[in-house]
Amino acid sequence: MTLNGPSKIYHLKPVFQLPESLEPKCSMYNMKNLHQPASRKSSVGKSTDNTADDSNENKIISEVLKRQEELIRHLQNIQSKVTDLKQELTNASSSVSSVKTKSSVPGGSVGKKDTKSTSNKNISLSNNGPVDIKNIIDKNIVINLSPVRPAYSVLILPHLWHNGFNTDPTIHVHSSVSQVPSAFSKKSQSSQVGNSASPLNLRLIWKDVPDTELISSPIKASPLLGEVSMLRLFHRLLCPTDSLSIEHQIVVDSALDTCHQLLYATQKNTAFALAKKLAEYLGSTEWMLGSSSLSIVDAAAWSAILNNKTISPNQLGPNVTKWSQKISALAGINENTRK
Amino acid sequence: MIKFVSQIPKESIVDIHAYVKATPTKVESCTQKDVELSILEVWVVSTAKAQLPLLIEDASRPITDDAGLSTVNQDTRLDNRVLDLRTPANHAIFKLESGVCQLFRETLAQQGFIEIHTPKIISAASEGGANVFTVSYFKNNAYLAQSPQLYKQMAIAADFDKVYTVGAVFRAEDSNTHRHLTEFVGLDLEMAFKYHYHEVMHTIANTLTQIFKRLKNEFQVEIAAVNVQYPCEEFTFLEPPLILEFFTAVDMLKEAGVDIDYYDDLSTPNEKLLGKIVKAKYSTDFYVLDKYPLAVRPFYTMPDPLNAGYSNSYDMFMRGEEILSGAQRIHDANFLTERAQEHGVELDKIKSYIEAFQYGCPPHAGGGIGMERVVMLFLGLDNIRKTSLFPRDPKRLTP
Repeated sequence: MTLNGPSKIYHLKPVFQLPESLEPKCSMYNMKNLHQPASRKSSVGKSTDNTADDSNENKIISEVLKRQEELIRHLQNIQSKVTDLKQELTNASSSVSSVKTKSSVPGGSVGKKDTKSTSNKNISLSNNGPVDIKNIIDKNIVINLSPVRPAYSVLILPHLWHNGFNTDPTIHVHSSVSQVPSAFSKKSQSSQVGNSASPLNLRLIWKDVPDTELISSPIKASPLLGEVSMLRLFHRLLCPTDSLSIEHQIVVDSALDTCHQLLYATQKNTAFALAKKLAEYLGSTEWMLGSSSLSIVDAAAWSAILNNKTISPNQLGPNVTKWSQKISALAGINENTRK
Repeated sequence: MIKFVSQIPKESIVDIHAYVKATPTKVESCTQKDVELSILEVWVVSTAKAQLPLLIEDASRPITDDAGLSTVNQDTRLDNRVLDLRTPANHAIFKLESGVCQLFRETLAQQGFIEIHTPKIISAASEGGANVFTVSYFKNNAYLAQSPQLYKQMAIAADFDKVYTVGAVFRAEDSNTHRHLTEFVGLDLEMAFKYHYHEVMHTIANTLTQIFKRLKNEFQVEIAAVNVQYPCEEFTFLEPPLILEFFTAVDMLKEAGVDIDYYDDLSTPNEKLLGKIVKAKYSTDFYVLDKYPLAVRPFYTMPDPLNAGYSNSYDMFMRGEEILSGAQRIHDANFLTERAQEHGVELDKIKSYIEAFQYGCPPHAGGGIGMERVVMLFLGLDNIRKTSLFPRDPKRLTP
């Protein structure tokens, strides 16, 4: 530090020095100035290199067009492949005969490049059983059961998916609940089938909640509400092959919605009308929607009818009674003690 | 008479001769609104000082009351604990605390446990040496017991099968936190098992669940009284209690973005966070973590025979804070010596501990619970000093 002349003020060295010129960092992209060509374009006649700019633009447009055509060709290619695959699949599995197959795939839902590989995966999965879903969802799943609307379908989960769940789900009673429905307390859990290496690990908690809640990870997702949503999730996780037939999915969905409505129906007339609708789904077949085996629709409908105190399977015809008794036997509960 | 009555200081003890009369209009300033006393005579039995260090109304004001009225801070309360304890909330807290001890004894007695009393003046530090108070003992030094563990284990070695003890425990830890005291009441139990240490773990966890259940049913009035002054969410638990393995807990923390290893101990903030995650998923404030890493447990903890690096030990949590730490203990003198050497514990200091296992000892496990912590966390209070009648911490020896 030196004295700066007679004024007795100290002269400070600069703390830092700016370089003479600032070089743009090479880690950043050099962007085109958006405003410059536009302003030039607006002032037509003034500039001399107008034509050069236009040709440049044409070049870009033609390039984009070329790429677009290429993409469209690629998509068409994929579409034809998917259609072939679909035909192959319907020929192979005659069990899905009740469902009509459409010749073309809805364009919107078709993914771009991955489509081929995922559908391939699905086909192979139909032979190999459930996917390794460890990476998709937390293995440890908690189901909060409501004593108001007990999800009876939980009792037959192991019959729906044989290797999907742990052998012996732990059942807890939350401090907000004092009594558990008798159908559940009588049920001996040891009779359930499954194995310890199963993809999903269930823990059931009786809690004072208005409806069934499913929690897999409180950090990643909010609880899934409703028994029907729970069955849908399990179906999606454990039977990924079914996702192929969209029409079937829609029919299943509307049946499941009816079950959900029945759970919340308070008036006798509405409840009976909804139950009648479910009985129609069963018709004279062994399982709901003419399925060859027990499905989630059976589980949901059975639970909804059990839950509703105003209706009994006897009112819905002999086939419904037979069907309901068969599921109750699988679940190991006595229908008469439920209410 | 009115002049005389108005001169009696607040908090004095009086005898009153009066008629009980129905009131024409409701009395709004009292809890008893429908009747009043028509006084004939007033006698002062014991006068209080005219100047009170704190007013009971101030001390029992709800913490959520933000009308700008004065409240009493924690230190003033503790300095004048006799007055402070007169508040309805404090009465309820200590009734509930008495309930915890009573239920602990009852529940264990029903299961065939017997109560033992262990010495509090001991010749050697029970857990390796740190954190003990030294007292002069005639011409030598002695220590205050920091855990009754050795004596519980000796009772097991003496074929007592199932024992518990309720008594003072001393920790010379200079930590001034909301959950540490230098003297507290330990509820300790130890039990011999037949096949697996989970027999013991389930016994302890079920005992605690039973206690919570009965507290909830039998102490509703007290819980409500505490809630008036210190509102908090109701304590929730599951029956049977939730038992998670340590690695599952680490997985849950990892999912929440915590950088933690499978062999690390849980830090206090991580324990709190885990408590929140567990509550969100399993809706319980009470849970057990099983299978802690061997490296973070004391030398006498039995290693897990199936998973190297883990041990047969468990911690229990309430509202994300640890209330119990327990494990299967090594019952073989030679193996204990070996483990002590691996941990670098001086063998001279634990000679008597190892000697206890030389004449045969059944496999056993146990744990110790801090009574004050259980009450604090059950009621959702923010400070352990609120649940100790006359708390002792590094800065307080009186009253």
